[in-house]
Amino acid sequence: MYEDKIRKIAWDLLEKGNVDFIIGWEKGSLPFLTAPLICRDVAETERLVWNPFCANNLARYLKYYKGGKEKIALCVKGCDARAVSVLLREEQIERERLVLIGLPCHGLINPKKLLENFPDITPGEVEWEEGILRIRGKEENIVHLLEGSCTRCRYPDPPIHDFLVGEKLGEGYAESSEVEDMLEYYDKMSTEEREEFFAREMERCIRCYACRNACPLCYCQECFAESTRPSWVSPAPLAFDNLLFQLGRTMHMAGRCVECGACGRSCPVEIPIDILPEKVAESIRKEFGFESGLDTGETAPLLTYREDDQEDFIK
Amino acid sequence: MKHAGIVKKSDFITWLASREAVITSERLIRRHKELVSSVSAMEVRNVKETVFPGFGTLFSYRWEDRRWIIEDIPVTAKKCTVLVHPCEATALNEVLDRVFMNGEHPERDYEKLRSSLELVTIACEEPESTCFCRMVGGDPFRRVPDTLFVVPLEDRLYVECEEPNVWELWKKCVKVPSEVEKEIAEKEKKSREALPDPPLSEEVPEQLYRLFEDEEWDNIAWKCLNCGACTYLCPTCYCFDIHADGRLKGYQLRSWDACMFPRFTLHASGHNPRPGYRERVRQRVLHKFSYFPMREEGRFGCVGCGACVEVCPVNWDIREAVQRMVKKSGAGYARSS
Repeated sequence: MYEDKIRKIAWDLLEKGNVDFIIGWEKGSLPFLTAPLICRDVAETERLVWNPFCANNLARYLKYYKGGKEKIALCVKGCDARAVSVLLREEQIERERLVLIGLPCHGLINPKKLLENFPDITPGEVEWEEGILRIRGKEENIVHLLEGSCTRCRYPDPPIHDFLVGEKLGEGYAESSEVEDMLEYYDKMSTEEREEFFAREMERCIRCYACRNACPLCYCQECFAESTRPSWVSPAPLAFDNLLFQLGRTMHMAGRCVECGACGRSCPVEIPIDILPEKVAESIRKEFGFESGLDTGETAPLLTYREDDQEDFIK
Repeated sequence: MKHAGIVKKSDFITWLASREAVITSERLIRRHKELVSSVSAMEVRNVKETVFPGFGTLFSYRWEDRRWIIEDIPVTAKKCTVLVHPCEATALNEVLDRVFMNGEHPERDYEKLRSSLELVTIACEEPESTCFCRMVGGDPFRRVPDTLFVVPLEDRLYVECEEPNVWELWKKCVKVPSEVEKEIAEKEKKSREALPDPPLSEEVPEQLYRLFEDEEWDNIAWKCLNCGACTYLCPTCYCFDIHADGRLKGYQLRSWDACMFPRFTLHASGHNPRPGYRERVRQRVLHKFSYFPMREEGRFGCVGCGACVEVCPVNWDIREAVQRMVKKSGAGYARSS
């Protein structure tokens, strides 16, 4: 079983003193949830789990260790590894300090969709082993239960890793005709409909900053949204300021966002906020042929300067 | 003194529809759609929004003829009937009221909004996996003082209150048959049994305070993202920020703030007494489970509604945090009654 392999790797790394701690996921306190786990002791590695409910992007925790000396082992899905790759490029952490336990990912299950499709289901009735999902003993296709960002996943395999647990999957769901791309749903809206949609959603935003804090790539010491001199955004959760914050964040993510969907999943009032950075990521891919976090050595298009740039305004 | 009665569901709905305005919480709608669907009830995510909104205007100001002109903007309140569960009613009655109204300096806007509310407490028959009201001295069938306590039955409702004269609905109530009394007692027992966490003992606040410097806080706090999801959706978290919107002309606003944010305690000097996640998470736990009860006659600053557990993006569970520290302190639990 993959979980056993992860635990074995983690145990060995700690036992041999190769790392100071392991960051992975453990069983959550509620059904169909996991929680991030830090293991400093070999005995704790028994608690590590790996299943389609490992929703948190663990690269998020690397910001705590910037400039430190600790050696860290991190469990990474495709999108987590892409985020790590961006952090490396942006010199937020050193590669030598990381041991990446790569986990090819079949996609995350949205617990709400699971309960809608299978009312009254209990955790004991959901089995997951090596890519096969069984619900109440019957094999089920995971695609109908996927999180929005997973429906458009292009890189289920971690592009960088030191260990790989499981077979490489190659393609994600992005090209699959079976899966409805959630972003397309918003793309189909007219400009007016979209305006109305965002106006409504921004009324609901409480500005708790869960989206920003769950993001592996939002690591600014001082966020522009909380700056007081000057104050760009009102601290009061007014719809206009909420939108300003979200758009500002989206622009900061352009060419950096790895489309993990952590921001959308973290929202306590369920605003599908991941569609903003993901839409920009799509534009960057289409306009510049660039995808973030693939360890290609290329610089992000919005961070480059070329004298022969075709746009006039740059000169 | 307790007065109990039975009322027809149709009479209850007619009474509700006759109220000036009805407000209810998201979780109550989830469970009792049939009670509120026929009246146009306003839905709030969190009951504290009714008395302590996410943001509000305190006064306006402008610089004119070389002097500041300040105009007061008092809040407007209208009479509302609020349908909530016992945990939510307790949050208003016993936590927020103590903070904003019952002390030496009642807060004007709060008092005005709060006194325009009448609370109807609907018993909680199906505690969820996030619920823990019993742990903090609550009960799913708690008769919260000054509220109308209601247990929905098949086609009627069981109603209980202290002052029948206050409630117009009382005229429609009849005597409770003994079999209904039995039914209520059974429901109550069943609901209580669904909440396995026993009440925390009276020593907990003191004992936790002694663990202020304990290194266990590091492990408890590590995974927390330091966002404000838990505090903003908590019915008892009451911290706020005051800020001016506009330089020579504008409004003084008040909006929610949270101890989870680094800027919350940042001094003008640049010093921050709560610099890391460890200090901030400890503050949230100790404020609710130590400082507040030590100051407020043992009343925990948490009502066990579980909203924070439900919304946390990393499944940071306050029950686990408290239980871990309680275990460490040796304070333990009260003998279960």
